[in-house]
Amino acid sequence: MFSMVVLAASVAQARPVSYPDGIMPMAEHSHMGTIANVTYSPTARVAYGVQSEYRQHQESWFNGVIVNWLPWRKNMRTSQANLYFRSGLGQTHTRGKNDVGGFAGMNADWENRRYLVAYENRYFADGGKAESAFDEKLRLGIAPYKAPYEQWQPWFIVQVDHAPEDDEQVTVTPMLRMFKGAFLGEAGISHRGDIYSSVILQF
Amino acid sequence: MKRTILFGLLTILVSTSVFAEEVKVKVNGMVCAFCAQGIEHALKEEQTVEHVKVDLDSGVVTIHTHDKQAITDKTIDRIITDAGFTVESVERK
Repeated sequence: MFSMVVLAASVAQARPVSYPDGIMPMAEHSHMGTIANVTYSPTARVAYGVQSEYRQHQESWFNGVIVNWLPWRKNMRTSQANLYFRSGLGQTHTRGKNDVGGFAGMNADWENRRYLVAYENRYFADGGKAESAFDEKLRLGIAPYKAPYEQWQPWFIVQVDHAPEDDEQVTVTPMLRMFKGAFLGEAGISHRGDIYSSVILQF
Repeated sequence: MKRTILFGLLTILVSTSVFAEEVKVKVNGMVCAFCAQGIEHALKEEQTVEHVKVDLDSGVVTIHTHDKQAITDKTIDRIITDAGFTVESVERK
């Protein structure tokens, strides 16, 4: 029986799909837990990979395969909008018990060289617990200036996490993003003092 | 006079077949370093391409081909479309 559990952590991955033949490792740590994954994109529309994730509140591990899909993209002269779907299936390990788990979610974003708006959500199911989980996040960002491709591009971003089943339903995290070439790194502190950090490489 | 015209024509012919080509491509949707890197990587996979320069601010990708080699508009469009972006225009020097 595939019952559900609250597993409220999702990947704030800026680009879930890379360029054709691209490999993209990613790691993220937040108040919700720690996630690491690596994906391979055979085309610019889809990415396959593996993910390992630890959810701090649930004391639960997830190890499985993931698929990210880009069904829609709008390229404009100075901006771009995307719609992604993400999914994963694997094994969970929660307080000594192994079970099947998985997730599905979507990302929608729009950005130009100075501003970004991104929304994502995820529903996570774990066969080991009779609970279900949904979480979502909104990001607003502004770049103080437009750096050339060869130089570091800073972004000031505010992320608002909403996890309806959590005791602390809303978390606000201001962060700094530094972006250059194949490297994207983010670091911030939530309004409760929790550290947020993430790194994405693309090669 | 005939000799001058013939020399001019030969010069044009030689210059287009011997020297490298520079192509400026205006790309829509190229808004971040990952976008630029993806386009650069995809174009460098093409054997005729020697060097690629990306200008994020203008959205222009400048392609330099190897000597005696050229890249067609169709090939440029295919590579950039496959990389997830849209070609707005192609300008050759």
